[in-house]
Order: sequence, then C-alpha cells, then structure tokens
Amino acid sequence: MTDHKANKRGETATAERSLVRDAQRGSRPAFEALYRQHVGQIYALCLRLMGNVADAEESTQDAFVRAWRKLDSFRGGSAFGTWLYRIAVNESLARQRKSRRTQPHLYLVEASGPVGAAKEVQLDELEKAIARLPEGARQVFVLAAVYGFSHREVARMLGIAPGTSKAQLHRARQLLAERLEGPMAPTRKNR
Amino acid sequence: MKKKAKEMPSQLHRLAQQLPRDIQPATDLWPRIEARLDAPSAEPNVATNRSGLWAAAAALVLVATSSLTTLILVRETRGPAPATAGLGPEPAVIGVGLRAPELLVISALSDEVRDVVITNLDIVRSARADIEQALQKDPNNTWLHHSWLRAYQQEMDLLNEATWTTNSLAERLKT
Repeated sequence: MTDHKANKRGETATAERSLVRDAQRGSRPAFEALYRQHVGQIYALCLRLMGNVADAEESTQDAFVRAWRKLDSFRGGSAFGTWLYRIAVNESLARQRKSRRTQPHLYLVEASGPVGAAKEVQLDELEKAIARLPEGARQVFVLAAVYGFSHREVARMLGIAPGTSKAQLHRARQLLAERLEGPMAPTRKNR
Repeated sequence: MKKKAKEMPSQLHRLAQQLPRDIQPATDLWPRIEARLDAPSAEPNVATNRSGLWAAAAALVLVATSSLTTLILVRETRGPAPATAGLGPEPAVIGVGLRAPELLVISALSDEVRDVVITNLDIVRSARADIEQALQKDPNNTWLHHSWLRAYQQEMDLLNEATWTTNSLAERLKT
C-alpha cells in the first residue's frame, strides 16, 4: 500500500516535471494544466493572506502570471508547488502593501474534503477569526501556523525580524484564543 | 486558567494544521490569467529601472560624502568652546545597528542599493558617534550641537530616500 502510494507520488512528480518542461518551452496547455493542478492551493494561501475574495483572486492571477514570466528561472531545486507558494506570498504581500486595506473582510470557505460537522464548524470559525486578525498577525499566523514556514522564512518573506515574527504569532494566538473561546469550548471539555 | 491558556495554542495549532489546503475560487481565473500572459510584461524596463537605482544610489553617495565632510570638519575642530546655555540635555549615544523599521525598508531594496544604504548609514552614524564623543568633552559647543543635528537630519534624509526608493520600486513593479 505504501509502495503503491509512493509510486503514485513518483508518477505525479514525473508528470509535473514534464509539464513544467513543456511550459518552459512556451506551451500554454502545459501551463494551464499546472494552473489547474495548483490553483486551489495557491488561492487558499492568497485568501488567507489577503483576507478577502476579491484581492485573493487578483493575487492568484498575479502569482500565475508572474510564474509564467519567471518559468525560466525555475530549476527544479524545490517542488514546483513550493516555488509557486513563494511567488504567491510575494505577490500577495506586494498587493497588500499597495492597497493597504484596513477593513477586514469575511469570506466563506468551502472545504474540498469531507469533514465532520462539528469539526467543519470549528474550522469555519477559525477561518473567519483568522480573516479578522490584524494584517501583520494574520500574515505570520497563516505562514507559520497554517503553512508551516519557519520563523526565519516568515521573517525573510515579510521583511521583519524573526523575533517580530514570533511576537506576531504569539499575538495572533492570543487574539484567536479570545475570539474562539466559545466555539472551541466543547472540545476542551471533552479532553 | 493556566491550563486553558496552555491548551488553546496547541488546539489552535492542531486546528490550523487541519484547515483545507485546497480552496477552489468561485470563478475560473484561467481566462483572465491567459489574457494577461499575452500582454507585455508589466515588469519595469531594466534599463529604466537601473537608471533609477543608480540615481538613488548617487543621491545616497552624495549624502554620505556630505557626512564624511562633516566628520572631517568635526575631527579638525579644536576651537575654543563658545559659552552657551539652554541647549538641553546631551544627545544620547545611538548605536550604528539597524532598527526594525529600518530593516523593513532596507530589506525591500535590491542588493546593490541595500549595500549602499547600509554603508552610508554606517558612515553617517559613525560621524554622529564621533560628534557625540566630541560633545562629551565639550558639551557647551553649539557648533558641535548643530553638527550633530545636521548629521541626524542627514540620517533621516537617507532613510527617507531609501523609503521613497522602496515605495517607488514597488509601485513600478506593480504597474
């Protein structure tokens, strides 16, 4: 079973490398296939970083357009998805710096996989609470807690000191804990 | 209460890890992306951009040169201390290390401009440190006070210039 999964992953990676090579040679269909493969992940990241649908859609477009223009510089040192993530983070932050919107926007999240009703409510509450976080705390929480980037990487991406990243994460956790106390209380009681 | 506070971050962490990694946008973005692939690159023309960078770098070098002049003048000053009063407390010694807001501005610059900014900041701050040393020996010297203020102004100008360059580049990269 594990071998089967590993083989499947290997096949997917090989197919993706082939798509990347074709796209690097200028193939639009290959790039569209890469878009279809990754748009969900990139849009999710942009949505969480931007906090609203309109900017998330724009950032997603910016990220793919930038990726198309920079395809030549992708050498395959990391996974294509990781490379795209970094571009999406940069594009989202650049758009945020440009617009500097202060009003947080709520958005609806449609989970792609099946989840239990109670968990879905919790995750939905968390998504909404993340969207209401102050910009700096939201960016750090999304990158560090949701996507698992190290404080060093987060600091480099956001142009802040690693200590600031840690402080913002702490602040985000405190704010989220305050806001989620209600919806999360049943889970604590069950422990 | 302590238990609550401890549980919440770990629970938050667990929930955060469970958030869906894949969210499909409500509309298909590909047609808009494809339309933009045909458009000429919005990235700034390299030659134009470089000339802008060099102009910014030249401005920074001018500031640094001016600071060096101040430094040399201060070092050569051995005149009698004028009688002054009411100049306020002696300026605090400020280190040459970069502070967080400056790091934020400077980290957004290109490598070549960043090097120039950091070098010049070091020069200006080192000049200020020298003036401060001179002021410790001669606290009533108004000329030294003026020089210190001028060096401080130059430092502010340098940081403003860097901020302007950062914002200007970000704007140009997006248009």
